[in-house]
Amino acid sequence: MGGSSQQRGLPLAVIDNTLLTRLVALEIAEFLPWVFKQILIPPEVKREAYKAPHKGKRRLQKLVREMAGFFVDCYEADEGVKEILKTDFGRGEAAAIAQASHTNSILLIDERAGYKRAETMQISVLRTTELINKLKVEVQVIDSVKPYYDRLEETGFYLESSIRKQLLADVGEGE
Amino acid sequence: MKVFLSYAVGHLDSSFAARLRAVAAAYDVAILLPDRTQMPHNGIRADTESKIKQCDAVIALVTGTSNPHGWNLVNLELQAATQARKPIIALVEQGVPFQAAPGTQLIQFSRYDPTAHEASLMAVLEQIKQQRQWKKDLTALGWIAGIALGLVALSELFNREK
Repeated sequence: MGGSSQQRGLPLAVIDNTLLTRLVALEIAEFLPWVFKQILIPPEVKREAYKAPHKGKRRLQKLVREMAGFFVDCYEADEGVKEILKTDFGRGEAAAIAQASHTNSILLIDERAGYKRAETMQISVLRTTELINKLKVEVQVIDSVKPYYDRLEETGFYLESSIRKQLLADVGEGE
Repeated sequence: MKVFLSYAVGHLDSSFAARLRAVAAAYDVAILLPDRTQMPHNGIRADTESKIKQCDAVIALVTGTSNPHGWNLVNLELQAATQARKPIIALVEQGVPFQAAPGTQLIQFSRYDPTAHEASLMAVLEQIKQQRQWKKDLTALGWIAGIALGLVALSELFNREK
């Protein structure tokens, strides 16, 4: 999957642990090569993802192994920036933000404070919901976003009603 | 608040801009950096000019380890800032022959004594504050300028240890 769809010109992205776990649980991580050239995984994020006590851990490890040319271990980051970020964020989030800043990549993160900090640092940021919308609108690999939102909410992802309505309206789906 | 950081620093201080951006973000101040990866032959890039226009102020940092090409870029960016009527604070390392344009607040610093500049920096900020009445934003700007110099000092310590 994804080999022929990996086009030049697609952006690089750095992923945070929570979002990676969510995408695997929603079974849409496989579609990422339509949107990104590569997904960079900082070692701290990988460690957190592999150690976390969640159900889909084995599937996540298998997917990362099978798509090894796409999910890439990346160690590039300014250590000073990482240390500065660690005062407010966990190791994984700090590493992901620092790496996105250093590699000029899009950051994939759901955590609100991390998202806001990255925006202030002039990093392009995407949340799970925005990514799902992208998969429908820009690359048309999913027909409807609503079932994915429902599944997200079942797993404890809080989506404010007005935001959910707006996101659905953005892709031409009403409640 | 958005601040454009124009900089000319040496290779050993090169991580400085990214680090400053990370610190400033913690104070909810966005530091916009020029793209130094693609250099125009004449003038400055259109996106750099656009960043300067959308900022509330411009800080120029020039260290003694920088090269004339870097100074030239800073001069061009400061010209654009002047045209856009942005307040400019130039933080220039002692011994660097930097010609500040009229209206620029020039503060010289020593990387070996980074706190010595504070009184003049605060005076400059107070002056701009009176002109623009940005109480809240200028406090942040003062923090950022102070942190900028602190980072240069740290960089010097780090390089000496190396």
